[in-house]
Amino acid sequence: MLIKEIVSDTAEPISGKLVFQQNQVPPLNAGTGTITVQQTVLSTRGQIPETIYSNVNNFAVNGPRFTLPVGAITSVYPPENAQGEYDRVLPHVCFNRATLPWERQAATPTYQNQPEAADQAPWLGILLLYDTDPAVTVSDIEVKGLVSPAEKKIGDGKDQLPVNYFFPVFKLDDNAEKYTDKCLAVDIPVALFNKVAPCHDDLPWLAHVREIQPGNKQSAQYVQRLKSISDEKALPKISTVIGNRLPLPGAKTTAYLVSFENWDSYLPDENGVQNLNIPKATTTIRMVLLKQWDFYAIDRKQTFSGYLKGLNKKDGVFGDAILRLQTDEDTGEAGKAIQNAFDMGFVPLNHHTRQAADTVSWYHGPFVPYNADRTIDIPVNGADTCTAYNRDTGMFDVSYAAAWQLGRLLALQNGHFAQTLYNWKKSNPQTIIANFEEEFIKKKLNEIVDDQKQSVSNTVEQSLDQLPLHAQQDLLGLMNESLSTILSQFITNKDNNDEDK
Amino acid sequence: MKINNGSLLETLNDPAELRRLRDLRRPRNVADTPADSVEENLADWLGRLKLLHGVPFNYLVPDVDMLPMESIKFFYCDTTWLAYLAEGALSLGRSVESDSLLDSVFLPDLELFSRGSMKKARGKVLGHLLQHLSKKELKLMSSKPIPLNEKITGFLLRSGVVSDWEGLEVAAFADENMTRPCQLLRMDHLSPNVLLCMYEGMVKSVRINEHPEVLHFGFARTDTPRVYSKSFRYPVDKQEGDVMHKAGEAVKDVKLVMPTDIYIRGNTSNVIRISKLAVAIRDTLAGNKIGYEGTFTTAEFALEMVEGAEAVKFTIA
Repeated sequence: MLIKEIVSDTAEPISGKLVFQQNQVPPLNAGTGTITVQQTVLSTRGQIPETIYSNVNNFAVNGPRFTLPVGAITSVYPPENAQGEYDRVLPHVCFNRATLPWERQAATPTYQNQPEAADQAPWLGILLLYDTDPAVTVSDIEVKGLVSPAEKKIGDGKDQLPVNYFFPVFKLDDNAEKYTDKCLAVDIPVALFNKVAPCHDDLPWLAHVREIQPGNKQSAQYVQRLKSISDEKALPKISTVIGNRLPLPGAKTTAYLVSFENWDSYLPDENGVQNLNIPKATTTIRMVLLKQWDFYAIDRKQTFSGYLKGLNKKDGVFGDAILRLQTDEDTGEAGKAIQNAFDMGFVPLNHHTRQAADTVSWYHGPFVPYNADRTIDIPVNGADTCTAYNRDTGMFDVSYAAAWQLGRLLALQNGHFAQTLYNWKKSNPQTIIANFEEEFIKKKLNEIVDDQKQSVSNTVEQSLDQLPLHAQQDLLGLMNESLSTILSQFITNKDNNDEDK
Repeated sequence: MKINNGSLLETLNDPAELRRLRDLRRPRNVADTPADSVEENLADWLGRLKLLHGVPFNYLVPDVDMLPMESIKFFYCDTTWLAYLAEGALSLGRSVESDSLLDSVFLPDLELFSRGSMKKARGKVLGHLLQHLSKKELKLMSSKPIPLNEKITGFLLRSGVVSDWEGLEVAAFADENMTRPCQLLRMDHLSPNVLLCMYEGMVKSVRINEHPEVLHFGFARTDTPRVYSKSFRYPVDKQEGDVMHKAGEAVKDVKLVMPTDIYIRGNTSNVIRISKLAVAIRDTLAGNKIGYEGTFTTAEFALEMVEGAEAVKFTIA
């Protein structure tokens, strides 16, 4: 099998459907809420005094805030640490929950009034920073590190927001969050923040939902993921958040997925001018960091087509696509014989034989470079019967013996299969015996009696139930005895030298 | 009077007679299918085994040098190897000679059913996603047992593309022009960067393309002077004279050239003024050539911004 060519396929557009949706706002945002149920009891003639019964229930909608749960991010683009021509693309992150980017709000929360879906900005965003930008600091903090001591002193006031750092005031959800919860923070010089952060008008454009039409073309592991975000009726949906900055050509770029919750009033304007709501003395912006990854927009071929077109190359030379070993160089006749074996997919492996001898034998797996189909005779009586001898190399070929032995071991390992198989095997002779007995009883006498002359002539053509009662009983005894002889021989297996003969 | 035990016993040594006796009351199913759930479970397990589930990687690729990093290796499945593997599994519980007789009569049934199970395996993987599959793709998923002399072929791909593009899509065809698709039997990540694909029939060409999740926002660019530009897609179906342009189809001859001083903040920061860009795209869509004046939200914006999926085709000689 040789690859004739590897080319970019641009001839026809890939068929398949992908639907973009503006957003998917959850029915309730994360936060706390109250349900009040009220019932007024009264009677028309006033015998019962009017009474109002009411019941108040508090509830909380929990949603990720300072960290994302494991698995929430399904993929990032460009891939982590990838090196390729990425300087013309905006990076993005995909989430397994379609509502995630809208479960919180960039604008100051107003839990009573849901904003119109159309103008809700996502609370997740990507900041793209270059190696050449001023340095930022990423640190492990507790949530109290987001609160300035001037605003609220927590405990002894240690490890809170440093002076001249800025983070918007927020309310902790007492049901689900504590000031001691851990999270990651990225501290960005305020000038850099103003330079790269999206402005108020930009933010809503930087997220959307993708509804995916599944096909039968992806690996079982990926299919599993699509299944987990869909059901019989609903197609798989993922949400996507996009960055607003192009990567720097020729250098390392780091993408930071940050929370923009409550940040709407502090974003720079479209020219990158600092928002007036940020205190003048601020030197550093602190943001909640949810994910960080690097990639390199350089002229390496680690793009999708770059990878695929570069396959099977060794030192820049295109090799073949055959699953085999190759001898290093021509080593004469012996080398030829070995290369022949290699070409058929064989590898030499150490072989510890049953007689405790050590030797080297050939083995090939189920994937071979040539079409080999021949049928095998079953049953196979043990692995040794499938060992072959390779005359050219004077070595044993244990491929099929290994396959047989492996199949046996895997079956033994799976107790359920082994038990089911055993029961099934047992059920076959049981069915045979039951049916045999039944047919035997229904048979006419002349079909089963050895010597017809000895039989009663007028019953020869009669079946058993047509005989007189005493004859029936005699015959039944006889048949019973006969059956037990036949079947016990059938079950324990016999040689066919019948004593009756 | 004596009953002829010998001749009766002889019938119990006759394979045809054994089969007749066992199948006397067997439900008359469609030919080649398991009679009950017990046989179906056995066949399904055997089918998975013959698709090499549970087989350790070093049995598949006995030497790592056969599959170096950044390589794709095509193969034929050695159906004899698979037959021995399955026979090994079915050999359990065979101790006396009559077991051998019964096995030789009835095991071929399970073997045949398992070749049907191999065809059904992908349907089980897809589960409820089958409801969403296109008619065209559903038609390709038959559950007829793989004929005995049919080839099973496929490839192993070991590459960074497998881990970085986890949902990459693979289609295989029995001809070079990619008109006759081969039915997929198994497609699995054996490890984060090793992908195994197995198909019924002889694969002659393979197309690997990006999946929807990785479609990204991007621009075209000229280097000197450095100018970014954007081409367009029809946001809805559009009739133009006799030609019907489908939604998503590329628009010819319309391009938005993006002067850096308008679309890029501070000119050199590489920060795109996204809302300005969105408005410009909306206005261009509303222009004469495309004439789209419907709602313009992040959905339409995304449709215009994503670059096409990359695809690479392999032709096998």
